[in-house]
Amino acid sequence: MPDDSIPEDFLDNLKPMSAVFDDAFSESEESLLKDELAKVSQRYVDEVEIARGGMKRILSVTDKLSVRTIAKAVPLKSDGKSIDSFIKEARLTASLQHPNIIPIYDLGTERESAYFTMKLVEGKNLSELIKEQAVNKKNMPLQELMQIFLKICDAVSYAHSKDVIHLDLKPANIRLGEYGEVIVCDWGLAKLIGQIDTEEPTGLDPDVYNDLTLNGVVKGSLGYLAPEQISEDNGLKDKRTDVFALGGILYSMLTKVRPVEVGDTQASLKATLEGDVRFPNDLDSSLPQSLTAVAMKALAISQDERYQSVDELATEVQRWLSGFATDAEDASFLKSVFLLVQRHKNISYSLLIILFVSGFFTWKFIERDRAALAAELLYVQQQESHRQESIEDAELLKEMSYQLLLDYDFEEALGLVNTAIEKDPENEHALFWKVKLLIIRQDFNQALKLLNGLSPRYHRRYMNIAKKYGSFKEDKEFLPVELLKEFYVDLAHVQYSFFVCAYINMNSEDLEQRVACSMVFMEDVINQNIGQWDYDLEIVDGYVSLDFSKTPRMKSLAGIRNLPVKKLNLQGTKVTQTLDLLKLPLEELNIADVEILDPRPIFRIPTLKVLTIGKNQYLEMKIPKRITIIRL
Amino acid sequence: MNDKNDSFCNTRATLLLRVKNQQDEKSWEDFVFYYKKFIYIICRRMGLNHHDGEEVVQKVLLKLWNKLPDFDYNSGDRFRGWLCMMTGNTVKDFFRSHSRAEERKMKAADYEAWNPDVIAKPAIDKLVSDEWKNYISNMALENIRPKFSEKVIDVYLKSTEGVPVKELSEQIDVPVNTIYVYAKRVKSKLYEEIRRLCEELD
Repeated sequence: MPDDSIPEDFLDNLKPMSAVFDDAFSESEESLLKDELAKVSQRYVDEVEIARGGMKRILSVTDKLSVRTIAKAVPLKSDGKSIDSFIKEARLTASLQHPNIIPIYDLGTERESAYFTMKLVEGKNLSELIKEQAVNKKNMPLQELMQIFLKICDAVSYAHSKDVIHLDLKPANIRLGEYGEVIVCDWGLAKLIGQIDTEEPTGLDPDVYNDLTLNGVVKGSLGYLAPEQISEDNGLKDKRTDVFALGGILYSMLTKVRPVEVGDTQASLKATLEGDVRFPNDLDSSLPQSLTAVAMKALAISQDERYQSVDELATEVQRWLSGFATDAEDASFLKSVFLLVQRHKNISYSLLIILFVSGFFTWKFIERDRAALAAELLYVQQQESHRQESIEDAELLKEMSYQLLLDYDFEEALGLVNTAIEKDPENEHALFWKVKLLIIRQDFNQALKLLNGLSPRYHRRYMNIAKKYGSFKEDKEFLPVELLKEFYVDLAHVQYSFFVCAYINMNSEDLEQRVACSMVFMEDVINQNIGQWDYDLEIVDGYVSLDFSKTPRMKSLAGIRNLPVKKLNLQGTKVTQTLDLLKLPLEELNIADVEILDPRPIFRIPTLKVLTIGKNQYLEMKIPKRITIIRL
Repeated sequence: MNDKNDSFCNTRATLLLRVKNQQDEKSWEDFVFYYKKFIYIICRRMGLNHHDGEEVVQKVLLKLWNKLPDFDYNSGDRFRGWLCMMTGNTVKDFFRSHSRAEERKMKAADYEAWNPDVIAKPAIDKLVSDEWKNYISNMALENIRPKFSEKVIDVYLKSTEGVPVKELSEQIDVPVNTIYVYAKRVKSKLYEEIRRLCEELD
């Protein structure tokens, strides 16, 4: 019998694990999380009151099931009517699902009362933001404030599309999250308009939901309350009532004060009814009239004089944001032109120049014609919508930078991509494009520095190139010709290789080096696998003579595009395009037995003196007399 | 013991069949290895102290050595029921022969819970079965322990004890997701080992 005695503490060390044994044989896949959920007996814990209104308390709670902190609302009163109105508010809000409307998570009963839970928006409310702005004078740009305002409009516009009107819109009911969320809260006074033909019914019965706010008592918040909320003589509450409140919010955001003072309730009700609102520019003359006019229009006493929908109001603010005159401002023609110029200042002058030069943008304000200007405005508006954000600006600049490269403007291309990075330092596309530019310029060490700050996901190849070639030389020098072929191979990109070649050509003083680099490109990149490769080269007085007639299958001349080639023999080659020839200072050219698709541009090369062609070539064509024709 | 390559056409004989039919040295050693501690647990549950427990285990094993070939094996549970009965009788004899010792008499109260003369057989079977499950699970845990770091095992045990994952995460400073991964890893290995042991032993 084996003599392994049992340790004395054996029994004490046994863990109660018989349940585990059964689990090991149970069919269903085991789930730790399910157990955890099952163990939760009280779902919402750690209640802390964070706000209290007229009707309800808001608590911050921990949801043990979803394990997050959320907000929980409970009614202040526990009588049946209060609880009913509370539940109706919850359901009405829950029926509105929009990114700028507080999302309701759950609705239920507890201890004789009811509760609902919703997103807890950390941050502050708009009222606090406005006060901060007023007190500290640390001004959030008006543009940013208007972006917030537009999001509020979005929410209200959506609610209106569901026939829900809020009726208590005010800065204190707008929560601003830490990550730019703008959330319209407290739909406690919200009302459903009894309208039948909604496309997407909310599933709520207007009869049940409406009487709560129609009990003859003034409800709403002074300063944002519309005249019709005080007295029905001014009309019935409808969507335009919310437009009025939005006007009040806009007014507060601009002036930092309420449209109507609230010290004395009766006085402020009277002021509201009489439309006694100070014109914002009297309070702050620097405010843009385009916007103050919009706020004042929304705050009109008569519903018919206001914007008839939230969308109308929002469009006006949007117009201001994109730099157009608003309708409320009753813009003059000159003002429109001024704004047109103003808008483009924002884009940066260099971009303007490119837009201009590239010819896909025609500048027409010479035509003093209103109709043309209107068309122009429309066009620019379309363009603008693509570059609302600076990120998109950066994208565009990167794109422009690439276009410039096609014109060999390496300096401007780099300048532009730097501007793009300034605008949006996180823009990986722009940063990566800069890496490519630096590599094309053979500034390997700079490229490496930049790459080290980028995530290596898709840059590894460039990282390897930068490391490998950066060790051979200083950034200002060029790689020796012997290494170029390998560099092209590693680059594995015909177009970038071409840019490398062009950059050397445009920045090297040493003609022999330029020619050598071009020939490497010609042979190893652009004319690969064409069999025999041979040429004669002569360099005299800073000019180059090239003879490719021994390379019958040569197709592309791209590499010599930037060389000072005076004499060129292409006899019998497979070249078909003339593009590469046109900028050469050519004096003698042999294109005998070359099937050029369209030779006419060649005849227009100003320096060309002698053109050698085949016996029967171009018989029909008119060749200028200054060119001596040699027929073989 | 991991003789997974038993390639004869018969399915692999379980430990109990081997020890009964073959009576070979190796099978007996294996049997003792696995069952000695189980018998010990039963002895202790019946109220014996450590030293008496060890003594009774030896007696039970001796009896088994003689009686196993005659036992009509058909299931592990039935075998363990029989084993428990025999252990119970041995414990009873032990108490009888040592009745002079006061403390042992006191402890005998515990034995009543297991006393086959007092308790209905199904209840005892249930006790035995639970004890076996617990024993095997513990053994499985010890077997897999070397495959994991102490921390990982600890995380698993705590999570089975019902410590909330979030709390656990703060306690040992490991992210919640990692805890789930740890626990799941141990769990699946442990279950696998439990199933393996059962297959091996029954």
